[in-house]
Amino acid sequence: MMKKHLKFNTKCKLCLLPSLAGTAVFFVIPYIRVLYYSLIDNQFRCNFVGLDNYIETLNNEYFRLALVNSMLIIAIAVPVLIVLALVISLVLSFGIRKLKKLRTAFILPMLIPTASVVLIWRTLFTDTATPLPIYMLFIWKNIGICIILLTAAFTGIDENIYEAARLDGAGAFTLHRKITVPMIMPTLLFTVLLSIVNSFRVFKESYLFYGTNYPPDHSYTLQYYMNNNFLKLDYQSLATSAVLTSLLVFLIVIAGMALQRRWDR
Amino acid sequence: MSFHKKLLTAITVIFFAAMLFLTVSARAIHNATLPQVTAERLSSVQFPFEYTDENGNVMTGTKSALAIRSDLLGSDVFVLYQREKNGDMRDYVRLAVIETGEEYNGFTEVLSGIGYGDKFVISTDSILSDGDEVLVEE
Amino acid sequence: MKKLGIVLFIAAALVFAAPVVMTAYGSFVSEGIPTLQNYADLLFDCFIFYPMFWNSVLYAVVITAVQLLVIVPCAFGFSQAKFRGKGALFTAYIILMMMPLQVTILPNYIGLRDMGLIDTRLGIILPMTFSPFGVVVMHQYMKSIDGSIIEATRLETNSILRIILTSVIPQIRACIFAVAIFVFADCWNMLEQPMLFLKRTELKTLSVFIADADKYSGNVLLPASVIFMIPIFLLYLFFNEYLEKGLTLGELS
Repeated sequence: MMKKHLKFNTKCKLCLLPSLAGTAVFFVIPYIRVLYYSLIDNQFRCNFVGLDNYIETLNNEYFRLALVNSMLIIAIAVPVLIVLALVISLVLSFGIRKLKKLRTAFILPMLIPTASVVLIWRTLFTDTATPLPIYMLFIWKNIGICIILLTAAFTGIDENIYEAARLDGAGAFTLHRKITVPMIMPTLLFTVLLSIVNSFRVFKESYLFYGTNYPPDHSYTLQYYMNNNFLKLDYQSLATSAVLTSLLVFLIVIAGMALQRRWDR
Repeated sequence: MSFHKKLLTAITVIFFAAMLFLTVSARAIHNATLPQVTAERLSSVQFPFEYTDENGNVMTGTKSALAIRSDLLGSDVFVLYQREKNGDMRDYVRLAVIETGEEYNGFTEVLSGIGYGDKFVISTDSILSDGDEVLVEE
Repeated sequence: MKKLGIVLFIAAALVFAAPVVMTAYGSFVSEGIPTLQNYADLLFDCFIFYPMFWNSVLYAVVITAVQLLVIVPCAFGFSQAKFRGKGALFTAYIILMMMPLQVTILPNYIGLRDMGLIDTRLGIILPMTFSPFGVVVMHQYMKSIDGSIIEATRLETNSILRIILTSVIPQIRACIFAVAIFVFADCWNMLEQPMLFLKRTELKTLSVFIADADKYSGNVLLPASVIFMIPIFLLYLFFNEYLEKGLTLGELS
């Protein structure tokens, strides 16, 4: 019996192999090479220059502009998205039970290819003095999945808890504060994290909207910086900014996961 | 399968079948709308001319000159050229303004308007205008 | 409250549908008049459109199919196998999944270049096949399956393939479809990879065609956009119910 169990475990481990192999070959190993690129000065001379590239990149005004813009999206667009999604989900889940079937329709903007709607977006939002069109595109695309996740969480709360609390004399505000909020928290955290990650993906939308490698200053994000370096074949700057960006994302994710664990107590 | 599933399947099949059909035949359909022409390259023909030699005698010699069949000059002459459109090379025609010279043996000398080696239209199955796309028969 | 909810819902639905409807409408209009000229320009005068369309189909279908083949055993392995560092390995997958495209594109490009896969179809298919998104999501779904059924199947057969096919897949069918749709949509929408990894236009995808639409004569952008939307729309309608089940069953917390 013991032998059979061991064999099963080994077989299970083998199941992981294709995925691990592919991920290693296409992501992990090249990433290490990127790290290497960021630490040398030139593809041909390969002199190890330590952190010089990083200092140079951090001092680059374009990089700084890109960093600020990317952070602005996270700081502004994501909260607006979440608040909007919360409001809509609240009304939807406490109001309508039967329209649950149509919930999945909200996912459509995420599935619809961006390229298809960009032209219309350009005619709708002609003012390119602010990054508003891009924010709107981001919200339009992502609000669907946020609403679906949040309504699922709202409807997952047991009605009886509310009844019991009301019987105890709790007012509407206390009701929501003590019951709704804590029960929503895990999903809410996940939604926020997901939206932050998706805010990085907004590059595709932005690129298609402006149609150029050098959009107006307010929309120049980290991805533009990296993309332009890629096209200029400036591997050093590209590698450095890629590593820096991955560090940023890494920190955000770790922070999110730590928050989640603390919340689960 | 429920009704709307069947409908969806039907629509999907129709869509992909249509795309497949178009992929295979779109070019042929496009070509069917084009005027079909045959063409020839402009080349030189021997022309006789008279000259006076050192002794004062009038002699006849021949010279080579670009020439086109005289009967073609009755209607507009179109020169073929190629241009890229949407990823492939297409044939177009442009209206040529020809300056003519002497005539001999059914050929007329071309002074300007077409160059040596240029292809021009000999026959067409419909009326051409400047800038039209055409299909050239080999 | 209910009335407000219904009004809000309809308003939201309109807002969501508006860009799509406007795109469709715009494709049938040329300078203010309803016409099919745009479609004629696209379908009968722009032949590079067809290889690019089928490329999009090919990449999306192949990547989705192979991804599922890779993901299901992998998620199964993660949920059943016991070994040290399993948690850390999975966290690594999560972190990789969260990385924005621009960060992973450079490693992908370098890897492909060294393998000589730049400007080939395989160069597009392979990296996307090993995207960590599917593994993470599928693993969450795997957590919700009934362990006792697996135990029971293990008594009958030692073949992992059999175990997965008979006891695991039937339970998470909805989730497989949900993941498949997201992966397909991701591939269908793929823009950066064809633009950067491919040189020959006949290997590129429809998304690139639309992005470069002003290179082509005629108003081909809107008709192409409409045609581009149709397959994904059909797929969504087809697997609507699976999406519903899949999205709510797998609650990542």
